Amino acid sequence: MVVPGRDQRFPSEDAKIWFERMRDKGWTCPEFPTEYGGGGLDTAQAKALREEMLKLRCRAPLTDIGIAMLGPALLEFGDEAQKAEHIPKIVRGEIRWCQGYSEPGAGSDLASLQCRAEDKGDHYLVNGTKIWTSFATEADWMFCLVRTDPEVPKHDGISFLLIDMETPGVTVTPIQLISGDSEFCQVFFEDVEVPAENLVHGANKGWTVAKGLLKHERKMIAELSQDFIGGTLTLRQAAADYLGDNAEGKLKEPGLRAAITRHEMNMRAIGLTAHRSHLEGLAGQSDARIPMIMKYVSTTEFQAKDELMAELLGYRGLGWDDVYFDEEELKSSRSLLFNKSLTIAGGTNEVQLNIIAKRALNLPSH
Amino acid sequence: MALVLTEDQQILKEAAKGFIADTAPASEFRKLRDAGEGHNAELWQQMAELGWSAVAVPEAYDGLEFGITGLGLIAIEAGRHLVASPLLTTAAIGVSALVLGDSEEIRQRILPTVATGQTLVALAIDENNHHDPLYTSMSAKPVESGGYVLDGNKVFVAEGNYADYYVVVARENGDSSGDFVLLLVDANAAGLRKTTVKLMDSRDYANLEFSGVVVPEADVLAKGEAAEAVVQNIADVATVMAACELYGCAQQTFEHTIQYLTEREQFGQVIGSFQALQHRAAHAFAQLQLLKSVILDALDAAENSRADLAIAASHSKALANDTAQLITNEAIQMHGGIGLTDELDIGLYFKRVRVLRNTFGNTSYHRRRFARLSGY
Repeated sequence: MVVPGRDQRFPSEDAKIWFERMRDKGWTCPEFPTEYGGGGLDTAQAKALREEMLKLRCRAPLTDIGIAMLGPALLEFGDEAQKAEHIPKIVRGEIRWCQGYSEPGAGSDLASLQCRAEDKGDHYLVNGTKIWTSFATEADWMFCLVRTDPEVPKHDGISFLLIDMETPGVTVTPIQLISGDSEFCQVFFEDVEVPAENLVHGANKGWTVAKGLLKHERKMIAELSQDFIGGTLTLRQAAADYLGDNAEGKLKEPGLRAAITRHEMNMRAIGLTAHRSHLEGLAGQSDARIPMIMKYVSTTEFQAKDELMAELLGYRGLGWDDVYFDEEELKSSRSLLFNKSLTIAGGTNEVQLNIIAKRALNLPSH
Repeated sequence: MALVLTEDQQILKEAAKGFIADTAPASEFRKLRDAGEGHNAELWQQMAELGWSAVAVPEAYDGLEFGITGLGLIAIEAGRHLVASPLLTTAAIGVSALVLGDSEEIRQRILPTVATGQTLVALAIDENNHHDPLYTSMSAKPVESGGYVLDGNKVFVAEGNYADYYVVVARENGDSSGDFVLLLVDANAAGLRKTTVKLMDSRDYANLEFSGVVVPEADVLAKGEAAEAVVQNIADVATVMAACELYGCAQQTFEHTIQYLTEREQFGQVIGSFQALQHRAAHAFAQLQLLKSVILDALDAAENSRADLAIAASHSKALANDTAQLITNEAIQMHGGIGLTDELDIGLYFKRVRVLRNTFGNTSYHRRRFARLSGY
């Protein structure tokens, strides 16, 4: 996987060539406008490109939340100078972005965030902290939600601010997780001066930007494929390798066979629903309720797969070091632990269900 | 674009929705039940006039040749309003059997009057409490003049009391190694005895006893491996259709329940404002959306005889079974005591869903089949 950054590194020379060729066509961001370096493709063309790449088993030339989340939000809400400054760098992979949303006291209740940005005329003075920021140690810039007005109702005093992580007063501490990973970080701001032109969509209008961007985030999490986080071992193969088949070539264990089938059916249903939603969009019949369910159903099913894999592998799915366990086995145990974040990050499943109840079913608030 | 309806399909769906809501809402089914009837001939004639009996009949036999997806859309609307009609048994399953069978003569003889709604054809396939299309101990003894003599039993035949013909699966000499045969049997044939069976969905079914029933050569639909393939294929079409009706039942029950959640007050507020109920309703909604995609895909697989029809069909029925079970259970629980009364329609849907879940394969049957077809 190629990620962007000021000091970009490549896993191989091939990955570098592939990235550079795609970048030069703007196909790191096929649907971004050409004036900002993007590919300028329409939805159908971009889909054709994705399908061709899939057929040829090509990796995405560049993977980043700048592409998946900030870019689309800036195109929608940013002013001309912001777009001209930041989007070409996203397309070319020159800047790695991180997201400053959650705080220790503002998780599911994101709008109660307290990180303060005081208007000092030509700049904002930022004090406070952000937590669960993925890859903050690696990131060059952060897009972040800050409180610019503490006197008004909570949603009305939030702004969307872009902060250079090299600004004096910014410090980053990685958080160690149960999986042993530490990609999530806490970021501290102490009298950080951020130029006023880095505020997107006007003061106290950050919640609108945040909501627009959250949709992209949820879509991205829903679309994460298992081999992005987990291994390439399928449940069927694992069952054959670790438990064995009976004389008829069926899984020995009927209970697991039923559980695997249930999972495979759910994955097929989720895949068909994603495809249906896409086709409905092309036919001009988009159903806005579908994206609301996708993160909920897919993250739940990813976790179900991890649990099944652990059951199939037994002790070999519980390994920690690489002395005794092979790479696929370790991926399985790490993904069981790391993927617990999928139903929490980007809006917990409970928040997703609240959204479905409210917006899809029109059920009243308590 | 299989997962999105074409304009023609959309028009048919809207027409079906309008007609059924106006002419055959659940209250009509309730009247039928209260009168102790299982069949409304007049309603079927009206449906036939709209062309629904002819949707899957090829044009060569005076049909509309509109495809299985169209019928599936009507079945969904029929499920929404508990319409009791030969739509599934005759228009979808019976027609498929005749179309897929090997006899052009039978098609020319029967299909034109099936298309007009005059002739009803029912599938007599099950012999046990559980669906298993390729299990039969029905004996078809070949006779020298051609044709067969049938001995054995078929049970729980939907529309079996009203059909003019039965499509019957049997094996030569009743031997489990004997060749499959698929036969068209006249409902008034000598030696055939019908017993009416009522199930909890207030529809009546027929148990059929065949004692030396003579089936002439001209009424043989298929033999041997061809017959086996046709039986599988009919069973898949039937499975998808049952899934469609279940989806319609589940949708309607869900909408009734959401409506109730916004009306019923307890503790000084509508109960739909409680998060415990909201989350369960939202979960059910997500399941319904997944089911919709799987049903549309299965209809496409049936319509185009896709190679993965069996997988798509089993998937659609397993998921429809589970989702309709979840939603009818939640409907009663969320309605509370009133949900258990006969006054509300919830119970009618609950009971219909319970029967449909068993029709053409319960969840474990289709999960097993899906697993086998997927190679595990």
